[in-house]
Amino acid sequence: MKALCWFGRRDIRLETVPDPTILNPRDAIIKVSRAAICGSDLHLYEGFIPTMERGDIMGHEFMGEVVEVGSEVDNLEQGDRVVVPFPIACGNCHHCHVDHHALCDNSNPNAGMAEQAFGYSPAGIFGYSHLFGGYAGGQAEYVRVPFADVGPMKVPDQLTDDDVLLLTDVLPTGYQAADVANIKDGDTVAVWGCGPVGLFAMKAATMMGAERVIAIDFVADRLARARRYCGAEIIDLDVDAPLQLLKEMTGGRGPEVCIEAVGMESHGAGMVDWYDRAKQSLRLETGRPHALRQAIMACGKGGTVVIPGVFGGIVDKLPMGAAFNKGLTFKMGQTHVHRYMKPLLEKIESDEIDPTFVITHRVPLVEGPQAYEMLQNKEDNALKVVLTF
Amino acid sequence: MPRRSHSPMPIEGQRALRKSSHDDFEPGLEMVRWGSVLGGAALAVYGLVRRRRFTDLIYSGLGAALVYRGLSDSNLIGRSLKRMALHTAATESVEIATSMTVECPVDEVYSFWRRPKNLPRFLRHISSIEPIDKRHSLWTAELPGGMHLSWRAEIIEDRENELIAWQSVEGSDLFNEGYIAFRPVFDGQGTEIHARIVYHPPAGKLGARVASFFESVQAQVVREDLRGFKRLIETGELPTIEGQPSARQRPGNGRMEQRLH
Repeated sequence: MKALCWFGRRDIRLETVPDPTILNPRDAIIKVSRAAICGSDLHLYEGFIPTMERGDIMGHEFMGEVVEVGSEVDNLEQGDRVVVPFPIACGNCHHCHVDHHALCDNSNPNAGMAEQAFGYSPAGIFGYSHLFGGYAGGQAEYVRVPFADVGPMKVPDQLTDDDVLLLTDVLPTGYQAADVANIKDGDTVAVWGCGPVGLFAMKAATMMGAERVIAIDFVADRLARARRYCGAEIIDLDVDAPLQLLKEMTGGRGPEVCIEAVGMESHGAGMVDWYDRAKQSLRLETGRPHALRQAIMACGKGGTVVIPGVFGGIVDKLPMGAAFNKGLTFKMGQTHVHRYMKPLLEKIESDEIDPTFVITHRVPLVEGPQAYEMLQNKEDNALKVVLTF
Repeated sequence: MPRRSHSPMPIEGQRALRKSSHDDFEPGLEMVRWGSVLGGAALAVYGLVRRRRFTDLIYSGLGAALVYRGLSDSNLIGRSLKRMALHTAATESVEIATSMTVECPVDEVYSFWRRPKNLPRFLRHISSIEPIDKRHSLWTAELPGGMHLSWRAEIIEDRENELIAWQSVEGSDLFNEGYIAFRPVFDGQGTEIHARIVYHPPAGKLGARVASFFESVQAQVVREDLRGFKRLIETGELPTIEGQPSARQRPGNGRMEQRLH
């Protein structure tokens, strides 16, 4: 089969690889009909996630048709059309029982390695380095899905692939960011990063009662999308000083909720940015937490900072004093997609959310390597690139 | 938990000497022993260099075991080395302790562990455990190259739903003892498992070196075994990526070690 494979920094290649097979009784094989490139795939593309190996198959946002199931999978059969959550969860462990699927004890074959890095191992993730299990991803014609009796969700025929594809990651991720923020009626929610996750977080914040949503980015097209589709007020980092402006916009109180939907490759400015870039390039610091620092400084007293943006290792110079003395609450982590997929599917069916507004490009799998380059450079206002088969 | 005292001249060491002189009469043994040392060292280094997958740790552990076995029994390294080792320092035992919580009531966990036949399903370096009687069983670890390491284990304490303690009996290739203890959690729906294993390596500086190497690798192996138990009993399977596709399977693309497979 054809698959997009990682070969190093900015080196994604279309390769012919063997088809996947059932390896465990709870596996299923999916014939992929749609996959997407995630902003977090770009962290792999830039080489900032360790433990990738040359030849690894990329992709954790995908859907398709069930073509084979293992002996212990009795809820799926050939021909079912399913979307697949990006974290792999067993459904049997303590964390799965309390709906913390991204913290599953049992799905990461390299849990010992993850324990070295994080103290305890999170769930395995498709196509996201060997630290997260080394699972072959879904930017391929076929993919093996472990614990297929727990993860994949069947989708109704009347919805198109594009309607439901983003249930695999970015829609639940944005939604969870707002959900864990304890948004109260009348709150102001500021969101750093107008990528798909940030945009969905804005949508969700409004649905949960936020009175104002403020979008912060420096990409004009993304800010325009935030204004148009999410009803956000905007702060353009190329023009405005965000801390000062946020204070003015909120009558000196600051936002109650700050959502950092950027992650480890945030773009800063000035001396501190050069410091972060230098340290990150030497791997002395694995993240450039510019947006996170800003979110902490901007957040009003007693507020909540939510981090759906991906961090993998160590960051420097977090303003801990500001966080402590303002009594901030932090919420963060990978998304428990399993828990949000069904309720969000219902919202798509009832037209409460139409996630397709973030999709800017549809390209065939064979043009995948160029699509990565386009998204990395944000060429042609690329926001969400969907791979077709 | 009964503990052995560690004297400057441990019984295991004397036993090793006795065993070695007895081995003198076995023809072809030298080849096997040196093969064991060299093969073991290569395997250990290979495993340590890769150190990405669980199996690599196993390789390191088994490699270390081979080196240990080869050195401790080899006539070429000889009795002189062994005598020197025995007279240099007191033996430190290697102690491994690890714990894991499983979503399974304590009585099910206990009865699973009490049946020796169940254990090789997740003790991945153990090829077989044959019950001899109610308290004794024969453990065999299969090493690469068709070699085997075996010992008899005796259950020295058995408290239902609480603890199983064992000790290897005299004459074992690998002297070890330990216990596995169970504690109910999550309102009886879960069980905390605490495992402690003690290996007694040979005496002296050589022993200490083998011991520290053994410890660094083996602690992770024991932990992964316990994790294997948790995964089997909770999910019915062990997660794996062995056999999945990647572009490494195309000639010319892979890393060197992948081509070795």
